[in-house]
Amino acid sequence: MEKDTMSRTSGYFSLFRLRGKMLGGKRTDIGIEAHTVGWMIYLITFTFVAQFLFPATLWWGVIVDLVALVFLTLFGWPLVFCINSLFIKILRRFGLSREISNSRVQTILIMTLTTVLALQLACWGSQMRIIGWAWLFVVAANLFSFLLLRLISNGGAERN
Amino acid sequence: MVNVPFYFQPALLFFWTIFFFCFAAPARRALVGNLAPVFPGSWRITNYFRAWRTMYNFAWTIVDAAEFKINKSDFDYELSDAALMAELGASKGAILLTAHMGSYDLGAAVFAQKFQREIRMVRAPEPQPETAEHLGASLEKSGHGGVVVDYNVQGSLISFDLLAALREGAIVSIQGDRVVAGVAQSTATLFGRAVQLPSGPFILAQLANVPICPLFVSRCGYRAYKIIVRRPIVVPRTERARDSDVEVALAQWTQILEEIIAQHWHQWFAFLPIFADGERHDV
Repeated sequence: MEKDTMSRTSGYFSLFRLRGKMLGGKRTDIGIEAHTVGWMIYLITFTFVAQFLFPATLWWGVIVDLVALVFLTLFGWPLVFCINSLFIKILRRFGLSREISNSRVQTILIMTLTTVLALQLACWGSQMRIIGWAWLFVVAANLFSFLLLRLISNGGAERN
Repeated sequence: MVNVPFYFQPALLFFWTIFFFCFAAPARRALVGNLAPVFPGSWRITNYFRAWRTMYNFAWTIVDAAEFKINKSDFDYELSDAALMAELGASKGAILLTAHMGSYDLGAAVFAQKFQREIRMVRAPEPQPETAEHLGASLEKSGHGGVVVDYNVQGSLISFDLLAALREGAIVSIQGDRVVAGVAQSTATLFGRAVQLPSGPFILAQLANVPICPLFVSRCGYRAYKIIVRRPIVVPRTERARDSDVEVALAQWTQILEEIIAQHWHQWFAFLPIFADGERHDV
């Protein structure tokens, strides 16, 4: 069985890049990254909107609304992507963020929005705050990984 | 596509598939109907879940093809038989007989890139000319000039073109699991049921004296594909009538097709009813 690849990349987020480095410098499984991050963002958005619209205890009628909300949340995100892309265009027009790619700016905006929602979730008194805290923990771990990777690469550069 | 981050694709595809599963009733019904002979005795409800999974895989292959073309994303691929593939790459004229399975577009592009060979891909005509134009341009772009698309339209002179191309040593890719109206077809047996399959590839192979190489591209993970190639089918030229020679080759093809579909049923994108009237066909 011959294996090949069209080209290779490392992980997108620092936390996954660090994981890849710890596992012997192999290519991070970008599939795990895509599924984990994507579903977490989706869960936070959905929980936030559900908590916002239906703060009271759930009953069967609300469950129907929640099913509709699954799709509404989903359709809401492409709208956010469009607004973000327009915002990026404006930033470019004013000469800002020229050094980084559109997808990176898009990610920064999405992560900022999700973190704000997670923060709000964590502050609310419901049991769902655990989801908010989980996201905040992951964001902190990602920042820590970023710093660690920077330190490792700087250390390597100095030795060379 | 450019504005949708890769990590949003799993959730978006998951729910959009539910949406299409609910509203694309003819495709759903065709999938359930086509899966029934593959899983005889299986519950209909289970086949609905299988149909959903097939649609989900179909959505992924579309996204992967777009990712490959627009974002130049990374893809892993493995070959089931590298030696056979290399043999095929070096062959002087061959027919790649494939099915509506996995990402055949991506597979053709990989083949064209890896072996630096041009592929002529024959496709069923699209209902709308704009779609045909878009698909053709898209395939030719992702194939980096190595893929040329021909549409198999009734009354066209495509067979003569293909025959000439094969005689000149070209590689022609044809989908052999479905027929379109007006093209040459033969009755075969698949999973014990009668099916109409195109006989054109077999007649072409016989006339041009080239082998038929069964080739399938199966999605085997996130941005990972497996290219499955089987030993070539040779259509003999005997003293008998042409139909009986074609019948022998067609039987070999259906045997391979049956084996591949049984293993990769979740990637068999048969969105039109394949089996005739759902009646069993005794062999």
